[in-house]
Amino acid sequence: MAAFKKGRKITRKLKKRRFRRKKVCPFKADSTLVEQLNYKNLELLMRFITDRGKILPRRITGVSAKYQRALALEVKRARQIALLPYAVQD
Amino acid sequence: MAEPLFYNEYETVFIIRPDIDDASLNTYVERIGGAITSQAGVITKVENWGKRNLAYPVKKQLTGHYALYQYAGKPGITDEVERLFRTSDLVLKFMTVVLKTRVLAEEFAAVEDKTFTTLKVGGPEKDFTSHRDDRRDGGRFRDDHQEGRHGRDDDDMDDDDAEVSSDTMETSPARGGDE
Repeated sequence: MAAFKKGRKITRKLKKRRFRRKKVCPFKADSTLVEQLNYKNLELLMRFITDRGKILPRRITGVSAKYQRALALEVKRARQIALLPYAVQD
Repeated sequence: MAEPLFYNEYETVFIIRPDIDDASLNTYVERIGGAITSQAGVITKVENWGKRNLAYPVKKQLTGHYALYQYAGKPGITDEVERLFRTSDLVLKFMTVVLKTRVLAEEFAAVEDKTFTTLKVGGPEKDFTSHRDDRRDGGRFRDDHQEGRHGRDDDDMDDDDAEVSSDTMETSPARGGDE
């Protein structure tokens, strides 16, 4: 039984092995973006939020952990001063 | 020997009611500037972002005049500035951000031009408050969860991936789905 389970696991792994281009953190790729990252730069921040106003997860945007933290802070600042919404209702 | 004087640098954005005239707007902003200098602060930047849409209603207003002061001063200088905002009914909202801490006071130079001129900063304005009818359903990320994609075992090199991503995730610069 155990062997069967193991086998299944392997096939599942194989199934999931698909080609995916490695994402690069946009802030690490372009250091000028780091300087531009602040709550006033809505053009930049809007690239990382959904149209409902939520912050996009790193797995979607490829932002590194370091800059995701910085980005989240700036989005929250922008929300506080009503530049960005906390939530967009239907 | 005199102790070296350390300043912190702050940035304060405040939103003023949309229904006041330009003259009283300017007077009010200048009064804030006066309060900063009277607290031995050094103003390093003044910005007027003009009248902008608010991302959500504040005190029943949908627009407001945005103004920004960047200044340096002793810790505690913000108390007086924020007290003025709290006691004024002209200000809808304000926010102070610390930019630098413990910098020698001599390093800050005041701006010569303290006039409150309109600058277009802050980026694009988007109307978040109006009703949106182009809304999609809430399950936009369903594609990125682990389910689905059955019966596609063999195509290791699927280049149709890009196609799928472009219509599901137009807001993101790149596509996710790291398992």
